[in-house]
Amino acid sequence: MMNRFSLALLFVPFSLFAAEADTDLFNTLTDDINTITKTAKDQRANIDYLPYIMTVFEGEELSRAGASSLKEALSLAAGVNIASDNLSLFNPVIRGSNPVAYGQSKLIVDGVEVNDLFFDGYTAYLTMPIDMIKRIEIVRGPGSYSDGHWGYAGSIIVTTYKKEPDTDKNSRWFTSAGTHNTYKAGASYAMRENDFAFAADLYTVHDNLSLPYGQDGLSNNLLGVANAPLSRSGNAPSSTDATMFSFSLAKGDFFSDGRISSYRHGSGGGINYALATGEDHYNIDQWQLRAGVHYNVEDFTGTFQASIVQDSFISHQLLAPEGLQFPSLNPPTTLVTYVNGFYGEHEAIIRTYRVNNTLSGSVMGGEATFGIGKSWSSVTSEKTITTDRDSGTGMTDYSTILPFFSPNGSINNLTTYLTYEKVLSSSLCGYASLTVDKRNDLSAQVDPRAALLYTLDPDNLIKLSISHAHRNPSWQEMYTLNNRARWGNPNLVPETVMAYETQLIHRFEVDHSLSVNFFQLNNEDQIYPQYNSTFLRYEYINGSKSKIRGFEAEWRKRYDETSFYGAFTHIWAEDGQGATLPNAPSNTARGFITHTLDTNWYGSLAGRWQSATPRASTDPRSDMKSIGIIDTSIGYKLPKFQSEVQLTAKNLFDKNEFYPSPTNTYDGDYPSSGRTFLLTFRGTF
Amino acid sequence: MKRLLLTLFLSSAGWCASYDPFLLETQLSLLPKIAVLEKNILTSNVKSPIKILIAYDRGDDDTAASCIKILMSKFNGHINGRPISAIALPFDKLDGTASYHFIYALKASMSQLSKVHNAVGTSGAITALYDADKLTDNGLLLSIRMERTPIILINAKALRQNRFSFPDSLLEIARIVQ
Repeated sequence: MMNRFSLALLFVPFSLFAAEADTDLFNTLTDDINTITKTAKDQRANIDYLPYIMTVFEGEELSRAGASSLKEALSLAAGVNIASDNLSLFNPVIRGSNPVAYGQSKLIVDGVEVNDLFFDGYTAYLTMPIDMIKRIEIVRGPGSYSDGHWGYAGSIIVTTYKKEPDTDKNSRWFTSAGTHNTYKAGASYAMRENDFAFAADLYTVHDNLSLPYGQDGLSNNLLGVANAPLSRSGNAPSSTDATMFSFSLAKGDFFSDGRISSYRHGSGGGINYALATGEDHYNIDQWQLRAGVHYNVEDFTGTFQASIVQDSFISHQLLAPEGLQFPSLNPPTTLVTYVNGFYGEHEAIIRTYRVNNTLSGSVMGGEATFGIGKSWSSVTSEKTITTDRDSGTGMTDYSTILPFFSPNGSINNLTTYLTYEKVLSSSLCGYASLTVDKRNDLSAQVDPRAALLYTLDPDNLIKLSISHAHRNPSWQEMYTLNNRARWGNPNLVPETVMAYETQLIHRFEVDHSLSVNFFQLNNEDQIYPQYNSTFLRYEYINGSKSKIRGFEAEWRKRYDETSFYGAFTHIWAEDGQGATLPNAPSNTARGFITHTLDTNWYGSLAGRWQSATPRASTDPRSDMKSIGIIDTSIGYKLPKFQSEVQLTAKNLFDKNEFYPSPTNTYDGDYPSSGRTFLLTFRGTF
Repeated sequence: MKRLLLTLFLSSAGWCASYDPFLLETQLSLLPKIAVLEKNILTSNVKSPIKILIAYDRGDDDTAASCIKILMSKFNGHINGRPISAIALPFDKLDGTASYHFIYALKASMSQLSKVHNAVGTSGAITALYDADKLTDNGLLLSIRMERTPIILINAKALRQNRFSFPDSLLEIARIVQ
């Protein structure tokens, strides 16, 4: 005892120093814990504890699994099916929600929503190579865990390596080559010095794909009975040329970023359901520029930003084949024969100006964020130049008298939102949000959301949520004109959904979990094109209700040398009349295994399966058959060169995969590519 | 063909674990700081380097090398003003001859974790492991699991047996597991 006392005296000064040091050290430790907690939330590293039903994939995990693009990555996720149309635009459909309408989900890349205004889709971005992507978050259900972005059926949140470089590598590159003359190349770079940061990425994707289509829409009298014999089938151009560049700059509290995307694609099944040929193509281009500042007001942090976005749709296509006969414009009684076919050049450019302000801070023991944003969008250019409608030869500008897109289209939005999250007890966390969105000519849409997260014990959690959401009609749905395949309706009202969701999560151990979620989605005012037999055209209407109920199970395990992901989704989907909802398969299964063979070699096996896809009740064709697709890859790491090489085989057994075509358009469904191979080199520097 | 491919794939031998990168980085950010809070380390020669060992299974060489990079990058070569010296060794090369302040074990079998325990010897090293589920099985002291926040796990038995002494403030925020 005496000894201890003496020793204690001897060490008094050092102990005091030690006490001070351990206090400082402990304080830095708690600071670190708080920072990691925030980062975990931002980077979705603790999704089990976030008030959404979501899946998060790391880009490297997906590239190991053989996915080479955002589209291929999404097709591996629970509850996501990819739909397509006559132009080979792609639409990730979440839990079977209205596959014929784009904009059902929002794509947010590095914090910026990128859905194009024309379609409200994001086909161009689906070609984004997986080597540019650090993380993909798939939020199923309304809302989104990103301030100010509100998905309807879901949200896809992509974070690139440019935005979040790895700790020990700030630059990456890749190059790929494969079937259909596919080549891809890209790189990303990020640097930070004191309070200055700069990052940029660039990629290009090319293929010369051509796909075999069945008899086109002329066979179903879409251009009149007299023209039905002109119907064609065969290979149509479906090539892709996509290039994207983005940058970000930050100095202290100021930031700026921009993105330019060029996307050209073969016209495939044609705008008017007439088979495209030769160089027929369309472009969906977009550029964005944003600048803003972070600021503090007492204990609140705010961000003010202003942005400008330009979206364009440009098409150059033979819209009807040689020999087409159609009444002239002046007078409308003369029958004109188009000896070289009917050619069209269409262009619509929409520009949007947007300002937005958010303020976040602690309120009554919880975290609150308030946001308000205003946007102004209008058509800045519209061109409709087609074969002369009176002579049947030569090109004439019909931009004024027969525009394909309303040149006076204009949309303004005022959106406010409030989110509040509070830890109510050691086991219960509550979340509430309210969004009010007012678009010109529409009544204000009020979308509340409430969610609870209950931790039964560290290994078992339950989430519950009730949400209301809306999807405003897209520009295409409102303003397309003089096009028999899509005729807009400016009187459309938003689609709405009431969603009830619950999820049970069980963690067996570190890196091993099983979750099951149940959901019911009550959709109203669903927008889709309905055939008008009087005017012989498809017109957008607010046509139907739908009720989608179902469950999803997801299992993930990182097991020593092998990682597993498996998911199964079942839906019971019916329209307002109790009939099975078309175009949504009842059962889908997804999964992949990645396996590290040794220090250098790794491989993967991925699969997706879906049950038969039902048709609309008016469609005499039988249901689309169930289909399973298997992909595989093998890779070899070259540590000395900080690089690796990977060979991927997609659709290994060369199955014929189709996307459903609407009734009375193409006789068959829309095709997709069969087996393909891709060789990729990637590395860091 | 399908069956053959699947069989070939699944039967391939290989021994390299896969990791949650966020969890790995979180553990490497916090665990060394927690180790240094232990009174014996805190009060030892403040000029001598903190010796850290990353123990790994054969095939996890890349992950172990990455851990060292992360440690050096996170702490800029110093913890609490003391330089860091970090090395990586496979489990089968561990013995009690070298002494360390902190040993961090990547994914491992029970027998490999026992080697970590044995390698501590008389050095009094603070031990930690990636796989929190195995914390109480092998006498290792620390781990971290990711819940809403990072949760520090301390093995009560290892704490008692080794007479480690941590500040009360740390014990208050940690989860003591029996």
